[in-house]
Amino acid sequence: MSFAFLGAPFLYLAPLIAAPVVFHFAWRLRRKRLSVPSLVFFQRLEPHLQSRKRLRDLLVLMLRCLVVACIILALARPTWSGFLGGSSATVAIVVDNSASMGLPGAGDPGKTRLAAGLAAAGALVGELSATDRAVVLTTVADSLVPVLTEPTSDKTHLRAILDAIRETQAASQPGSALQAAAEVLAGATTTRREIHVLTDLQAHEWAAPALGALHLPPGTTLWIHRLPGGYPEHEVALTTLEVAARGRLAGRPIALRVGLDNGGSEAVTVNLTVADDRGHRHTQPVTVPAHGSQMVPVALPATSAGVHWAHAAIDGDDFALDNEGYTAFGCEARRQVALCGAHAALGFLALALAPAADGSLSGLTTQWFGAQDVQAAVDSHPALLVMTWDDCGALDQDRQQVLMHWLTGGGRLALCPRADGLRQTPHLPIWLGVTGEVMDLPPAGEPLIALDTRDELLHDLVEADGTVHLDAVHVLQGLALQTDASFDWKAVLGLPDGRVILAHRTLGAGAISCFGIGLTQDWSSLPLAPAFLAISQALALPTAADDGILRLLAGDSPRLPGVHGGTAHLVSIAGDALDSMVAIGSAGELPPFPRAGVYALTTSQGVRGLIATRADPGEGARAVVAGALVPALAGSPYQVADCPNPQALAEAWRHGAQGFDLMPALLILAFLAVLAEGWIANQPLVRPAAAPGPSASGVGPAPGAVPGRAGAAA
Amino acid sequence: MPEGAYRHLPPHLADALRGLSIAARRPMAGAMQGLHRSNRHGASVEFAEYRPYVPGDPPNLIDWSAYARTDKHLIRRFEEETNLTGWVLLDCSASLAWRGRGAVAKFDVACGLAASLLYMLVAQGDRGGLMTFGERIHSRHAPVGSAATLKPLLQALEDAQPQGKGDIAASLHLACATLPRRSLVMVVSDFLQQPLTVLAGIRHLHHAGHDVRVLHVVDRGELSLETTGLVELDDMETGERLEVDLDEIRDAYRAAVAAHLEEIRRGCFGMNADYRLVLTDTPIAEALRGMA
Repeated sequence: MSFAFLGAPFLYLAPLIAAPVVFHFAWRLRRKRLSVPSLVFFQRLEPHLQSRKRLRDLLVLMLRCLVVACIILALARPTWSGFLGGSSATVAIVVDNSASMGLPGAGDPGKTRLAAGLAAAGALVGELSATDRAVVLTTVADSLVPVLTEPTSDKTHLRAILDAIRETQAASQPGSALQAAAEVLAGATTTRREIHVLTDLQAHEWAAPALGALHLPPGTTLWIHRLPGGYPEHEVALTTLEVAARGRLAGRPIALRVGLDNGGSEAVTVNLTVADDRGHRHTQPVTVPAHGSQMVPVALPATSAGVHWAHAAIDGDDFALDNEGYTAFGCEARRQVALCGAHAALGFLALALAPAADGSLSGLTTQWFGAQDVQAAVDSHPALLVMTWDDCGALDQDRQQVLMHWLTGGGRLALCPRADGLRQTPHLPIWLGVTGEVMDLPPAGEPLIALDTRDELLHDLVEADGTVHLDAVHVLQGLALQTDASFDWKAVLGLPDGRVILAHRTLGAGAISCFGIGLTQDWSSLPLAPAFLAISQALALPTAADDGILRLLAGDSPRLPGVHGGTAHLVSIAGDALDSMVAIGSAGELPPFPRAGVYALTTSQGVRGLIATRADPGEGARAVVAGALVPALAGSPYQVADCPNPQALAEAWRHGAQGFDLMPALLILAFLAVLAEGWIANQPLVRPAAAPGPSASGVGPAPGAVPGRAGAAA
Repeated sequence: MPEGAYRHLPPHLADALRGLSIAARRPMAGAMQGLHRSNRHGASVEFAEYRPYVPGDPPNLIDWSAYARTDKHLIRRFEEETNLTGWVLLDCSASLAWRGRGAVAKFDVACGLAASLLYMLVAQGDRGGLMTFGERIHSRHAPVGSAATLKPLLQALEDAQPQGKGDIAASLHLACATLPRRSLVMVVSDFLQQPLTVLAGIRHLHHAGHDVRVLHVVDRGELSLETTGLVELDDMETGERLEVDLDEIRDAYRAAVAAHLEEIRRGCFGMNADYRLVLTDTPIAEALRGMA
């Protein structure tokens, strides 16, 4: 049994109830004082005149206060539920369709929590009377579920909506779902308004910080029905699906990183399957330690230039809805490397850059130019221009200008000593800001180490623990790079004593890399090491430009930069089937994507884009909100009830359906009070006196009248 | 009497009272020969009755003419004429201080009436006495029979002040116990007491053989109650207060006042007591005309 005010703000007018009292005393202050010879005439009117007047004033005052109180209370629309008579209701049924609802329920084996929740919602719909209206909402917006903008009493329609609800791969958005329910109920005209949320109260979603004030319509009752259930014994979630930012070139394998997380207490071995849009499919077993994670690098076979997608999925655990993800990426065409100078002078660098002449392994091809033919090399728009120190130092002023202009515009230059012998200490152009000093090294050489493991040139060599292994590379001879501090050179490789062997800097939009060793085995063992391939190709592979592809978790609401309002046509390319037109928010926001997939987007403004989503990895978590307090709803009135079976919700509804709107009764009471006040206020305080005997003046005997005698003095 | 010496009996009033007289309507018990019928038989020219002769009667009183006609010895009796003693009983309760629409307060009119009555009695050779009362008898001035001896009474009227509660009936009962029998008693009051109570006092006087005259002093403002709106009424005698909306009760009030006056008037009529309603705006001489 509950008591609620639908128009609670009117209760702020409650002090007006005292207004009649104030007016009464104000009126009394205005009374006049009048001396009279005697009150005998007034007592003759009515011996209890004073007490009668006081009683009447008191009654009138009370009735006036009652009238004001009734009107204010009627405006506040009090509703008494659960006691007398029924009243129409508007109910918003909010079904949690997050991935966690796909976990087993507490009832029939094989029945999910969502199935139990939908059964309970169906039972509630069945209990609705002909005058009740309802709307069905989901905590994760799903284009598969028809959207009701207004409550309906059509039970068939409501059941059809319930039948359309499926588990998503996203986390619940309880705030937006409840706010949508509140907006629907705000327009309801019924006195009883209720929101019933059917959820597993997963802590991942409901233990979050408070959603803030929900702005529920006055008199709205918010019920949270907790759906109990079991948990998977083995649960591994796909937490990461990343494509390497560098080296996305046609013909070059694409590096993927797939992260897996095991929330269970036992190590789980799952099968990781990675597929791409060209039909390549690769499956490998992965063992994820208990309460740990595992990052799995995967190389997608070489592909062509353009936009591609990849799908990663795992199987072998007990909860599948958080096991997959999609990613999309742009792939550039094969790039050319311009090699200026003699083949022998550049050592193994050409081979490292393009192991296959057609670029089918690295995505890079090579083209040779003369040592001074810088203009032709630049005009070929290479990804990298390579030349020796000697050749670079020998460039005339014009060629240096060409080279410097190209670098400033985004070109990449790699310099190295002549691999075929250090004839003399080379002198580089002064604008490069680097010189070399011949090192005196022992015959066995000095080990080559990474001076900055986070440098982008070493990115592909970084192990999971953050270290870089160069496979015992030794430097036998070389030049220690002397960099000018004013040019922001960054040391990448060097000797243990700090002498720098490889460094790079930026110049405008371009980059310059400089080796202190020739790239043959005579200088060091680096050209023979696998790391040489990675470092060499990293010199030529630019960081992939922003391809405009949005990579999201299911349930995230993407935001389109530069788009304000309008519509967007969404078509799924892979994964969740989707072909719908959606509205874009004023800030460019799109509705969330409930499931993993790849979606092509075209806005009404002509903007095109690609969106890739993966399942929310937190949905397999065991933690739920226990007890009657839901942290996310702090600050809002709500009630939590367990919903062990569908009948529980229906019974609660039947109990609550007995409500009574007190507004008509209060208005009638106010009307009756007005009538009573009018009747009492107009009741004469004294009864009409009997007409006196005849007299000359009408007020008594004439002056001078003499009884029994005809004398008259006046 | 010096010109303008007494406020309640100015010369112009005394002049206006000349020619007015007060006559008793019941036999009076006087000590001297006078103008009024006595309750005793005497030697006036007014024949009263025959009665049989009884031994001891003077033989010269036998009406021989009657004996010749009736063959009986009858004695002819004549009414005695005597002077009267008039008592003015003046109400001095606080309610008489009220002044409404008239130019003067009720008490001024009442004092004027008392002075005029005393003056009229003395002027016609009778004796006049004065009693003032409120809740009890305040003062008693012995009857006087001349203008010279009237001065203390007039002075007493000058000094009188309306104050205190009034109990007309009780005062009349007390007065009745002290007044000599068969006097002319003139009660001047506003009679703001329950009529039955007031009439009980008057009845007491009447049963004591007094010729009772009632002069009821009323202000027109009392009759009409023309003030409007919510007022807090203050009883001048008791200090009792009453909050009332006059507009609401005016008609009933006027009816109650009229009923009050009528009840007293009818009561006086029933006791053959002369009743006069004297409005404060009525000239005193006019009010006293026809007292004979």
